[in-house]
Amino acid sequence: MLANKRLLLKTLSARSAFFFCSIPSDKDLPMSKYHEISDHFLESLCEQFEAIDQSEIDDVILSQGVLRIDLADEKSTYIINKQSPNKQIWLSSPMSGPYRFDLDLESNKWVGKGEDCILDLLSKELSEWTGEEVQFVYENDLL
Amino acid sequence: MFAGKLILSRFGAPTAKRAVGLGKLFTAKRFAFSPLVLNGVMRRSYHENVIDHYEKPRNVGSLDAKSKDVGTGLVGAPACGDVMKLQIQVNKDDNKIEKAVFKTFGCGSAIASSSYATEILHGMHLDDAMNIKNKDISEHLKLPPVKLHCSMLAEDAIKAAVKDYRKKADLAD
Repeated sequence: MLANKRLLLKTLSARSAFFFCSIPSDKDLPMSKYHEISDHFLESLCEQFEAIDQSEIDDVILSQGVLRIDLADEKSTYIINKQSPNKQIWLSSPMSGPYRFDLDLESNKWVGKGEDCILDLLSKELSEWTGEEVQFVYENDLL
Repeated sequence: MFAGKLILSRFGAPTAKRAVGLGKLFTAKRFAFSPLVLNGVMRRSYHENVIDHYEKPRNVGSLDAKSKDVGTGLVGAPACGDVMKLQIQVNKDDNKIEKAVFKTFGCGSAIASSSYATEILHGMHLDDAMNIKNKDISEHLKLPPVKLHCSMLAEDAIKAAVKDYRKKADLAD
């Protein structure tokens, strides 16, 4: 019982429990700025997905920080969502699995552990899926 | 014997969080059951492999984290919704995992992912353990898109435990 309490206290202390994420400090990236940038990113991405040929994509829904794209095969789904406690964007791809992206504060791009940008990954997969060239872009000048 | 209490959100079972191995510290405050079919639309349900691990989790427990034979991986954060602690006991002669245990706070998929991870780790060499991919876990449990991150967290927990053991083993040499 005491050991369990100790584990709980250890996990509740935010610093010790974070193993693989290093969250940007509030000085580097305030939460309000994170929300502004990530909301804008998802809205822009939503519009770009909607612009893709509708015979390849069944549905695009953006709601409460979760962007869901159902592909036309009725079983593949992309989920791109905000992960606010980590100030990250998370992606679940039916082609290649889960990813987490951090905001690169200099370029304002969302990059993963291997320096891969989320839009490069999505562009590559959607190009393969549709058979045509798909290129997603950052619309940061509107921020 | 573990004591896990169930916490169900307002929106029904699929978003429930459960603390496996963490005793009486989490108690059910209120819960509402949602019907499986709502307004004629079928709600998604967990695959039977996930339910199996959720109802009968394997290898719940703790090892002595201070022991030189034990590697501990602690990943995730309560704010994110999932915390996993995975520990391995390694035979230093052949570097094979003799025992693997876990304690997890999180959704059914997180519990199933860490439970399944301890199942496959038994008898594995450390190098093979580092090669376990989240895809192996998510394919076995047939996880839906939104829960693939749970299998990734389990993969992170395995790697963290192996790294911790190796760090201790290097210091001992």
